[in-house]
Amino acid sequence: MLIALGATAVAILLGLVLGILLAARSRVTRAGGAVLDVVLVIPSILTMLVLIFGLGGGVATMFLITAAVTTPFVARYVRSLVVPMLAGDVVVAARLAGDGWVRIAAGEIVPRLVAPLLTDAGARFVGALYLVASAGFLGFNPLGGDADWATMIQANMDGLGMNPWASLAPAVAVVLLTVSANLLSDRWMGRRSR
Amino acid sequence: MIDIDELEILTEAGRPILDGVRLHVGQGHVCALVGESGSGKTTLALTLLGRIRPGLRRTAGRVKVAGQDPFALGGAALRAFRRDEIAWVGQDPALSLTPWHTIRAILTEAAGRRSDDAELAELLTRAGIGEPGELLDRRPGQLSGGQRRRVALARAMSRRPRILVLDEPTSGLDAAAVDEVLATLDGLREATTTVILITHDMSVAARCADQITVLEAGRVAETGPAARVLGAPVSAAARALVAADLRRCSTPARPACIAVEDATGTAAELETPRDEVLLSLAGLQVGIPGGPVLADGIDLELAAGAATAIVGPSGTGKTTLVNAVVGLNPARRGTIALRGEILAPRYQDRTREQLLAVQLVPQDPARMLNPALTVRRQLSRALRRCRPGLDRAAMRDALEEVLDAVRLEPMVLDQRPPSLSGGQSQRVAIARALAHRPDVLICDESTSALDPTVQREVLETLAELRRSGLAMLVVTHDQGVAGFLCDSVLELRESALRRDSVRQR
Repeated sequence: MLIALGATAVAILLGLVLGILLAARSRVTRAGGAVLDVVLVIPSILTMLVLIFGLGGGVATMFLITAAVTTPFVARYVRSLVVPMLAGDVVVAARLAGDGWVRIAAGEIVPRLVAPLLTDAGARFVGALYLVASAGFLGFNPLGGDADWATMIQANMDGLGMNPWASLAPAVAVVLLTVSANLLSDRWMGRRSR
Repeated sequence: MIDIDELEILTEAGRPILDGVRLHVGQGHVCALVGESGSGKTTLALTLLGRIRPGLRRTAGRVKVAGQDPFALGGAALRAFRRDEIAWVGQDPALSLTPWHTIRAILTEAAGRRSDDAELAELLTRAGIGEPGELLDRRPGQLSGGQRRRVALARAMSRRPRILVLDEPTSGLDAAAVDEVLATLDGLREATTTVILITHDMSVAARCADQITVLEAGRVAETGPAARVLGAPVSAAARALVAADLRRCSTPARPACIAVEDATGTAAELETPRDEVLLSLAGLQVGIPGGPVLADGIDLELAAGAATAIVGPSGTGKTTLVNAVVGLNPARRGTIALRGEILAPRYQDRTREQLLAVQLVPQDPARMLNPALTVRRQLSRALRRCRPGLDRAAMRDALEEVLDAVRLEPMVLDQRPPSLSGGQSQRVAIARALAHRPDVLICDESTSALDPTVQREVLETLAELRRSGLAMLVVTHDQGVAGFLCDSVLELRESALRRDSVRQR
């Protein structure tokens, strides 16, 4: 679970920077955007399997994979938010006051991305958790122990008839975690915008 | 026809929106509901249709419209009432036209029964549309703004309702369009139609109302025949609104800088108390990028403390011109000089000092403010641009000073733009521009969304700033604003250009 949380946080930061950079209009960024779109199409499980096969299992690998798979989603979202901002009156007013692009990115654009990103973080976290859980379920056991919920679900599947709660309980826990994380971020966003 | 007695509407928390309101309008009369924004005009008018906005509740009072109580009706009876007896036209009536329907479909939908083209054409002619026949097959997107307004009004009147309610029909329109709307109204209504006109513009009320009811903070401050309320207002609210009507303004507000143009078109300065020319435009040609030339051969000299109004109907290039001055939309020909220094056509090529010296407050200033940052943050940032070394105490004073200049309360500092009212955000935008200590301030319709009294206050502040040397270009379609604030006028017309001179003080 901590892997998913940490990896989501890293992915959001990386995706933020990447998304802003890709929002500028130039041939390079257009090509970069095309590459991004292609990467997004590849199913995340596939990417994960290939990378685990190549890099071996373990916490670090899982972290890397989750961050790598989540970043393009965040980058794309950020890019779609920033492109209209660049043409908007706020950025124009800052440019007309002589502000440089770095200052505009940090001072005018990033604050407006905080709210949408936090909402998106909920969805990204669910995706990351799903990835880690899938890895555990498929038997890769990334944490090297049986303490994580996904491994618990998988390990106890055989005994489902005898003790269904051994698998159901961690599944319910995953659901509760993801739903409440999303509700919390929504509530926090609501309060902030008032 | 309309009888409202002791109407009381409260919010969930108990704050009164309408308090003991009485309104009586006879059949066939035009009643203007006048008041500042927030005074309850729209809430009151909505009760005529039996509607109360969510979050409000009616706690007392009787409403009787055309002999019925709209609140006692329900379901089909209420719908029939709203269809046949009363019609509502919102602020931008063009927005109520479904974009993918033809005009024929739009009018027939409202008229209900199958109408033939001849009837619809007759309706459109009454609305002032020249060739109604060919209009019926077009869609709203293919009509001009004025035509859309007429069609929307015709649609409202197509069932010949007994009561017509208009919510701010002329706000944001230039003088010609206001005339158009009022003429359309005249053509469409019948002698027996009762009209409720919500407006904050006393001059519109003066032109067409029989009765004026002034609302202030949910209470009726004054009501009576139009001539009496306008000529001899009794209540403070009515007096303030009448005084704020800029056309009646007689107090001079600025030093005289008179330019007279004789028949041959040369300008002769009669009297210039300050002779430092801050901004000069010579032979400027502007147009939409990739499009036609909108205005050509523009010459203008703006001295310190002077203000020139740029007027003209929509589409003639006023905003394009100011965008060229600021460098957003580079001029195709001609030069712009600031204190004698020629400015690069594109803003990217100008220095920071040059950029800060000419500030633009755009047409929708709320869009210029960053919704995620507090007002304090944005204004401090603006102040720091020209005074980088400000410490805490100095910053506090500077913020106070700049807020004072636009008559804003300090409590807006900790709010974010989405929670500000239209008038407040417009003033914050002006404050931000002023915080850059510009030489020239360009206002593009900057006071159009303000209440008359607030607008008057802001304009008075701008007039004061002129005395301290600020030069201004004011783009406006409101003759009152132009007359109040400016001492010369640049008029843009269709494709020709005319420099006009104006009154002396």
